[in-house]
Amino acid sequence: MYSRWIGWRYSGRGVARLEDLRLLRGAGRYLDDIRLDGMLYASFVRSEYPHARIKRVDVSDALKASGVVAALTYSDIEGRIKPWSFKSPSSPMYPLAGDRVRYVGEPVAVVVAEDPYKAEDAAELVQVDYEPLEPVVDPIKAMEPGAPRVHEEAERNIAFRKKLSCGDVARELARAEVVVADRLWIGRKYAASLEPRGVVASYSGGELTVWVSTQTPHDHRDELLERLAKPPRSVRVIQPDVGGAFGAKIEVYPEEVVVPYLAMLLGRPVKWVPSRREDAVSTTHGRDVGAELEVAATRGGEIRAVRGRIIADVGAYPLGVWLPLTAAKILPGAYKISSAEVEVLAVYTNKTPLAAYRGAGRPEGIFFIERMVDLLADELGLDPAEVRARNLVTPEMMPYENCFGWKYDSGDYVSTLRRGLSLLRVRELEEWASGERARGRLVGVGYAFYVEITSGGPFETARVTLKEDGSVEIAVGSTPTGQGDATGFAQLAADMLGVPMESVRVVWGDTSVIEEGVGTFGSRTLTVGGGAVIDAVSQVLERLRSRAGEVLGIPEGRVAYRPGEFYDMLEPDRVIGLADLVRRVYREMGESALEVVSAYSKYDPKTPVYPYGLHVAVVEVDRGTGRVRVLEYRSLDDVGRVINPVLVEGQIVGGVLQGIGDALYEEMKYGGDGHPLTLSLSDYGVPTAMEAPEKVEIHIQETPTHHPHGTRGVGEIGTIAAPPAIARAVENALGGALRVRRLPISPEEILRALESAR
Amino acid sequence: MSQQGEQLVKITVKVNGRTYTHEVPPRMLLVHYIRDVLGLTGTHVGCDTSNCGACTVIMNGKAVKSCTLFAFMADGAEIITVEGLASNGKLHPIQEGFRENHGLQCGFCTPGMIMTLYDFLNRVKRKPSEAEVRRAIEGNLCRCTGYVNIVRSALWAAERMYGGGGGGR
Repeated sequence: MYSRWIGWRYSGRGVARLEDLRLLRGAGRYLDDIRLDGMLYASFVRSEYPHARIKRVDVSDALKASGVVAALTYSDIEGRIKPWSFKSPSSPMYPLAGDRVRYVGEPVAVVVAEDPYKAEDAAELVQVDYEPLEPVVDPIKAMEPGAPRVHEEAERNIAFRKKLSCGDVARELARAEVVVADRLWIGRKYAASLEPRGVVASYSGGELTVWVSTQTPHDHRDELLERLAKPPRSVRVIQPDVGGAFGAKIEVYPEEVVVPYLAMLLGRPVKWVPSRREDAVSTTHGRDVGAELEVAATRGGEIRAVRGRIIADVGAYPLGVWLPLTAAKILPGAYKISSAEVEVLAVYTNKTPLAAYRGAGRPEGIFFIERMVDLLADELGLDPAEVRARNLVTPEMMPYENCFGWKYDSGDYVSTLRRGLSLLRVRELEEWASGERARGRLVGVGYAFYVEITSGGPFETARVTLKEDGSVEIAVGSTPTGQGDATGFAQLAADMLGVPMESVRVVWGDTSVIEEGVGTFGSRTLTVGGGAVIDAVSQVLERLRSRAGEVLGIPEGRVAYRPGEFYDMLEPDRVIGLADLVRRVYREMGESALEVVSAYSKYDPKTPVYPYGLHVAVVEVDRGTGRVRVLEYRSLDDVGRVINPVLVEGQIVGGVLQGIGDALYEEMKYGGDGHPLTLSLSDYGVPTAMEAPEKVEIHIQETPTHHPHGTRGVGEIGTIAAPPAIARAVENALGGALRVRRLPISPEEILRALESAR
Repeated sequence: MSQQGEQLVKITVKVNGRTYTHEVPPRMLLVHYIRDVLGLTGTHVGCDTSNCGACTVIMNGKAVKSCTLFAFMADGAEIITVEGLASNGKLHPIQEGFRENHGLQCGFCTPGMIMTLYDFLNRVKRKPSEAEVRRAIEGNLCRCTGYVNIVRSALWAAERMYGGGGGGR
């Protein structure tokens, strides 16, 4: 096993990122940095109504405007771009709206001009006659009989419905010593990557090349082939440097198909980059999931059953119907809950469609269960940590299949909780906070214990090539968007091959460089993508081993390997260096050398892996304004084996601040009339450095997993664990004056609670 | 981006030590002049409402958000962008600080963040406190790092530039 050499030199160490130098010099190449000769610029006309019939779209004035080359409406693309249809009851989603718009921001027409300013000017000249329809805004009211419908096809606006059940919930509820019940909700989020979405397309000789700010170039290629009915291999998708994605760059969006179509139609390259406001209204939103839950337990705090429903407001199209299902599947959390019944509902409203946002269902499910456990502890007057300890899945139950079928691979939750409480000095913090409260400060401590699913399939790819000059090229199908995974891949390969990291080059994000790939999301890149790298390196080494036997004149069975060289296991001084061997192969085999020195892997992760841990937040509430600040944050996470601690810490800390935003500041708000209200970065509430906790303490525990490098995913831990910890900390700070049921916790709500507690 | 019949404004700007003269439309934003006319794409546009700071450059010695200025307003000005920081191929201490302290992930906010810190550290001329750094970068958003390592990067750079002492914590 060549993977045993992982960690002898680079892996496990916080080596500096290979990605940085270019980015620090301003030499990154993001989507908007791409300029092609003869390039045109697209600007989209978008619905100003949440719900309306389109009576007429008139582009004649726009076409007369200076610099305008084309202006298209639905009738121009009908039959030329295949609309999206869904399994859920829904009208098709058209790249440009047909006779109806279903959310503010839905694309209605597109104008193409010689420069972006003129394109924007001309877009304002497009006249659209709307007949406003009653909007569907509240997802609960949307399910009432007689409510207006977002899609005629969807009765009571239900896009998806499924009942999950296990055990005997009715019996457990009937004989329960205590039942606690509550309604919880996490508000709508906007990923707000600093770089908005965007697309550039160029068409020549029947070949379509599309650059798109995405997490999934291979999926984009397949979608373009299908939507534009192009023959196989005629579309190349390139992912340039991506300025953050966070799940919102997974979907293939209408603009990302229309712009390539325009490039084909006009025979010139076309670029589209949205304004921030446009990005906020047209990029899928996240969260907006709620739960109504009952938890049945014994007086001793042992949870016997969970019952209720989980509801998601999925907006205008059913892209995110799986989100409440994910929330439900992780709802049992780290606890041995053997009876549960949850109805999962996805409901349409006239809002921007919902889809993945960092955590994608797990922040919701974990927030719900952690809130309910806190509520149960309060109801019973027990210590919340003790209630958790009594219910945690124990190590001898591993691998443990939770009662909705997710199989937790490994871990010792009980000792991690105990260790975390002491390592993170939770009791001391609680004592300190209680002392401060006695002096009038509104400070509080809260914690949450989570488990989450990462590193899913179906596969990831890598091609590793040893070059004649001793360098190594690795092409990967995963598609990092800032996490630094290329550095991680290089660490793994350099360890196994015994080469300096500087001689490893990692490339990704181009369907012409690597034919297949899945992408970067779901905390899978270094685990699943890394598995592919390790497999491909192993294949190359295995092929070279038999060559080494020939060179050393010994049977293959006698050839052993250590980083950088093969040797005779009976006479360890008889050695052939890897670099020498590779040069020899090139010399002897010429072109066909690649059959030996290059290998491709399509790695199947088989089963997901589940990180878990304890997160602790210390908050202070401003009595005058009701505003909350997180003063301090501490965590203990089991992330499996660590390849680069600096990258791991970066992922956790960055995710935690997004989780703080989730809990306290960020919400994509809609008015009662269905109009979005928070379309700038300041209105929306992306945390600044002033909102970041001053002290952050990250601890890592490394229980290896079944992967050859033993890792678990780490990218979404922060947004999953932080919100319930902060919710509890705020309750603690307010001394019971507020029960947190909804995120983000608003200052108004806090002031009201303080007022009524007076 | 000029178009026939449109009135253009002649501007002369010194950017990263080089003098440029161009005729630009009066409504052209400075950031678009820097990016599209001069081809210096290290300066980014993250929001167009002056919230995010990704477009920050140094103009006449002060950090400005170049998406809120018209190009003609820079006539006669001296501008430094991220491309002008390294000298003789050697990174500026702030750039080096980011590299040493994992101060960036996706890198999109990084040039603006660095230019804001360049202005700030040149003004304070000492090692600032953590709180001072946080206040200094309040107008620059980062969605990846949680800011912790950016603050560390700035303090590392300040130490390199001015030595250990100063503000402390």
